[in-house]
Amino acid sequence: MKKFAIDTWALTKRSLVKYRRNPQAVVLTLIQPIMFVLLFRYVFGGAIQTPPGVDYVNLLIPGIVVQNAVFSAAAASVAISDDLANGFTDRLRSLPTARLAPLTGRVFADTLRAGLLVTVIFFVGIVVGFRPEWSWGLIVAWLLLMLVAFGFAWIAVAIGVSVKSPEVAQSAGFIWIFPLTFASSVFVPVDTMPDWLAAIATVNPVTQFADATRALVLDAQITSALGWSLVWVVILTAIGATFTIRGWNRMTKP
Amino acid sequence: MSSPAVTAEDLTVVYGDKAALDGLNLSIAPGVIHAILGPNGAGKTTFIRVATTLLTPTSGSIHVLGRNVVTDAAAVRDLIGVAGQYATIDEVLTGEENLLLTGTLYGLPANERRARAGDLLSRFDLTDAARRPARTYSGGMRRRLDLAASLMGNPEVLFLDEPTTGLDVRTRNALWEEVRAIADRGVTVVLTTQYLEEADALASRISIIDTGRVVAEGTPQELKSTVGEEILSLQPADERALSDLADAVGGEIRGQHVRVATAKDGINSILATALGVGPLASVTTSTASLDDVFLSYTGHAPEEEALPEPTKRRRRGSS
Repeated sequence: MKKFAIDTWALTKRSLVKYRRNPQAVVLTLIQPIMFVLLFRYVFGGAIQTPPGVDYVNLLIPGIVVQNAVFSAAAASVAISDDLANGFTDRLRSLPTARLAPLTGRVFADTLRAGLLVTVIFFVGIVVGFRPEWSWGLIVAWLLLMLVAFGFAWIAVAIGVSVKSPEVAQSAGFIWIFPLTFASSVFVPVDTMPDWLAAIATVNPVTQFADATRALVLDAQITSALGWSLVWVVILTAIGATFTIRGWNRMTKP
Repeated sequence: MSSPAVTAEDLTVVYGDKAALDGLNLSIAPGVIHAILGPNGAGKTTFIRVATTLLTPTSGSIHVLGRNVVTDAAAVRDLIGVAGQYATIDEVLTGEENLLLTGTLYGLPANERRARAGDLLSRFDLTDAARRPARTYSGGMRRRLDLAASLMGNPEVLFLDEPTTGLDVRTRNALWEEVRAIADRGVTVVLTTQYLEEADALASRISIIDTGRVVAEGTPQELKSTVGEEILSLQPADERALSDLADAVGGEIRGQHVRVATAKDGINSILATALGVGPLASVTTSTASLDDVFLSYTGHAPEEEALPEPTKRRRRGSS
């Protein structure tokens, strides 16, 4: 267990160092969410119906941080697939590395990265007029976002170990994210959607995450959405980890 | 006689309906450099993957220093080092960080990790580049770093999968020196290669493998002497004399030529026999190559396999 913790941390650090030493990637990672914030705040925002008395920017920012927690986690598909393709994973597996540490190290790295990313977006939101309730709710929301990233990172790693090449991982790792984050309450209130889509959006876990985050950051309220969010995190983690470990163990089969 | 470092018994790996290893038997003595020689597709990399716990064999067994690689994989990983055809280092980390990370995963305490990384960096002439990202390294430096990483755990058995493929001659020779130095410290080195020259230069024993089996085994000298040192290619002036010529000198027909292998001092008698059959249009000689060793043990030339890329390389080498 101690070896597992040491190896996981060593590989987490390795993955984080890779991000830190690649300033271009860091800048690009930040540009996209900031463009989304500006686009929805200033271009689409005016045309989106909000409940009376609610400023759209206050709905938007808690939504966008959820979207980015999910997006950020999805990068794990490509990263794990790269390591498999270039032989680095082989080296790790031929060493006395704790068996699952290459996976947990990757998941922790992407979770921490997501935590940093949502913090940056939060402050960008403040700049464009977002006004949260400054309370413990922000900390709970931040922890929730980390858990969301953790759950989706397991899904992303499962995809990464299942596909044949980093190129496939690139598309397979992101393709599900667009419908998942857009058919949700991240950008617009669900009741403005056509009925069939609203029905889908309501059961979408991302809607639960966005609703839970909004209640926490705007009103410091614990809602049933938070409960459902935690259930979803457990489900995502369980599914992701199961398929990841299955794919991982299958690698030694010819 | 001490017990072998690596033994494989009836080792078989089947991918779909193709056997990459097909009942391979092998015994590698401790403390020597043992080369596994064969063309691409012969099963060399598959063997290394099985021996280094990365792949579970379909059937058969393999032991490293008496430990069963399949059932006691964790113990085996503590005893081995691996360096590959593709240097499996992290490009973004510095050379030193790559070694330290490997040291952590071997379970070394921090001070030992740092001491050993420092030693290996200087031994492999990487001290100046230690704090640069590995992506800035030349091909030769990458291989050296890969080799250094494989030694971080002080392995008793080192597996090298085509360590010099793609390197220029000078870099290759330098790497050969390193491999010899590693073996001099008592490490058993198991090396795969497709170059007879490399096996010859480094190994005290060679196993030739083809289609997943060992087809010949011996010291480099033994193997070469069975093939003959010189290959004569005789072209009769009269094309119709080809088969008579082949029968007379005990060679094989290859297009317009008859190929025959011989020891150096046998050249004169073969030419005399050949001229007894009839006049010759041309005679060329070449030294024994992997093709010839291969041909003599497998009865087929490696060219016959559908392997476009390495086939080209071998043709150049033998012409």
